[in-house]
Amino acid sequence: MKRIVLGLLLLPALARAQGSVIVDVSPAFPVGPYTSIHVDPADPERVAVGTQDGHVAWSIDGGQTVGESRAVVTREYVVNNLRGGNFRRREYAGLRSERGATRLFLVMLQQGLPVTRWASWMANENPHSEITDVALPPAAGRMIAASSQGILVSDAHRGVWSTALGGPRPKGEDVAAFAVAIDPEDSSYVLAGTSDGLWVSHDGGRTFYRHRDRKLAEDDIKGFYWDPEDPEHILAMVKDGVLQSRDRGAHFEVALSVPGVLHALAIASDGAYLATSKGLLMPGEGGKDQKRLVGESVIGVVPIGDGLTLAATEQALLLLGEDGRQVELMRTTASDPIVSLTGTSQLAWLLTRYGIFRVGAPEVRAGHRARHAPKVNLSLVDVQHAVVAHLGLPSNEKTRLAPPWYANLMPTLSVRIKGVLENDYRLGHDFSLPGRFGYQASASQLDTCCGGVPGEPPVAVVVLLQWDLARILLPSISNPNTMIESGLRPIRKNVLSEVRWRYRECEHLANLLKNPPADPQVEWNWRTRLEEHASYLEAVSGREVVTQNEMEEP
Amino acid sequence: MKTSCIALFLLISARAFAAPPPEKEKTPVDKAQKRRAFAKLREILKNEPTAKEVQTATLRFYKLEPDRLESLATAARLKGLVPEFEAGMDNSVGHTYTNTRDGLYPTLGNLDPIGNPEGYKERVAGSSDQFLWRLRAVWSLDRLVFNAESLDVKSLGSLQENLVREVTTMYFARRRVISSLVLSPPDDEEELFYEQQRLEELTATLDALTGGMFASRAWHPTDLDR
Repeated sequence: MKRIVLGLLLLPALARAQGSVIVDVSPAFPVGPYTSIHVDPADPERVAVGTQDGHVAWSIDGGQTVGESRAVVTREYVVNNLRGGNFRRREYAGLRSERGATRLFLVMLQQGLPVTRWASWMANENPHSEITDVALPPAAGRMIAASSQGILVSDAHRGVWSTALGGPRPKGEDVAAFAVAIDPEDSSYVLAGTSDGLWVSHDGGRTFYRHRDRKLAEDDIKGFYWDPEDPEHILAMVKDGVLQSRDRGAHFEVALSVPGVLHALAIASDGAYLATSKGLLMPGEGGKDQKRLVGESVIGVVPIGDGLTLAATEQALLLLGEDGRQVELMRTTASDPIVSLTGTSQLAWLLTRYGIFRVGAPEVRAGHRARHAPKVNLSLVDVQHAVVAHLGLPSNEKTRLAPPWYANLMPTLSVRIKGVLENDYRLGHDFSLPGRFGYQASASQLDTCCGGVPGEPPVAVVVLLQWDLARILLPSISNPNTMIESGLRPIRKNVLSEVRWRYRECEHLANLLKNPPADPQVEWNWRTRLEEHASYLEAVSGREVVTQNEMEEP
Repeated sequence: MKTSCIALFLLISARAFAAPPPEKEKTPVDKAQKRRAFAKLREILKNEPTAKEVQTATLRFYKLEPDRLESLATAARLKGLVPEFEAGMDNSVGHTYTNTRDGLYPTLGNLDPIGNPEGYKERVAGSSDQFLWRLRAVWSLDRLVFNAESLDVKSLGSLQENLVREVTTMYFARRRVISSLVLSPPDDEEELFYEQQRLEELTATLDALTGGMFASRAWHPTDLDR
């Protein structure tokens, strides 16, 4: 208690001198959403991050400078109906699926499940680009990433990525990778946990072979812990327990089982720390297991020594003391949940969906308020309205799954105009009288109409109004617009969600820049990231969302 | 994000955590170098196309400008006013000849044996020509209420947003590479080469996305030596 009171008294001075110990370093990284993080246990300043859209970024200086490249390119198959003429009932043409198939397709769309589009020769799925795990080699060189598309390996300079395991295959045959790890002593030895079991590479990830132990083919390994001190010792996380190898991965045995789902594990001198969906299991006094945060879903854990442990639930970063105390260090929101907490006792890293935080090494601030800090001009609601108007995003009222009922009451109007020009004559020649064509026996030239009845006007106008009673009384159940509409509705949701996130980042960065960091290059990174978000918002809203001023001379 | 004050102290006081590294004393030479590097970076970026120009050029190249989409949406709405139009014509030409021989006075037909060798009494030539024309216009008035094509136009908005997002990400990824090259260039020659190659790749990609607008105004790593 004394320490806490003392801390409160000293806090302003500490904060001025050292800055915050939880530092948002995401401005230096490519934009999220982030999906995975890997921290080198031997040097926690070496970190790699994977994103949902297939980017991989890495830093060797604790997030000050970052390299990035794209490991997986996103691809989206779009359903487009073929259009025939442009008239009623002929708007769509082409092969039609069975009604049952269409219903299944729609139900899956509604439930947000991945949808297979049946092509005539095979089923294709929208490939997922999410990076599920990244592995850094012990030194510079090729990186390896696990993704829903399999295992991807970079070249030595990490600019070019190629698929080493998995790849586009017919539906149901694809291999998704969950975890990958590189031997801390020998970067040619790689382990990969996939939906098809454990795979091994002995050539730096260029080729993979199924692990010799066939039992491991049934285990979905979600993560590895490769002991930097003893590379013979490997722990592999499965859904409900931990597999252990004491011979560098040649054999794995079940080491322990946990209640619920295992999310993360950490090893300290006093034992193993296990973050599960039902709480945190950690070593307690007298070698007994201790349960903390019982009933809560714990995402990650990092023992930092001195009886202190960092633990993350989905929305909070907590510091746990050995006497049962717990202090909330940071809280996030449901829309930006914590994805991972990992690291060492020197430096921990917290990954949220949209942010990367370094925990334990303070960011030194300049110590004065910026004279020309950027300013956010519009409220979030204003920005959203501007985006909807500028992009013409369809509102749910305006984009219907079918034409409104009164559309069927509108008739088809036909106007027909027709006319006939007739020319009828007869010339007679009587040979009994002298001269050719002695007289005209009959000659007539008639301009008649509409069957040639003299006296009628030369032009007839017919107006027809047609109603399709079947459409009025028995509205059609199947509607070809449904497919397009099903694709349209999520657009609004997705775009506005992107806008809200970028707006939040703008506000956050503008706020950070009021008290700029001491290193001008870090400030430059922050400003560049702010400009990126602002530039996107400006393009989609047509309004100036952020006013940026020139950075002060370093 | 909220950070607990108490926790800050606990964290800072945790022995296992590394103490914050003392800030290095910057020499005047360091500061001057940094200032020069920033001035150089500003100069480079000033001459480059702005993010807005790149976004506009990309949308123009892909024909996805907001104005164009707006006019497509308007056109889809107004389509109901334009009828399906059909025009047709039918022309028939008819000729008839009737030769009559007089049975009662057959000699009357022999008055002109050269011009009337068959000895007809009378010949009647007739013509019956007919020109028929028609026009037909059909309005599907229900399309004034709802035209399915407007859904297609709306789906282009998604492409537009995707493109803006992609080009913006790429533009600023390239800017970060330039910043890194100018402010803290790699010491290793090979690393420098690959960083420059990465910049070239991003420049080429942006050039392709903008229809050739970008590269001519973009900074190239070879300019670093100048």
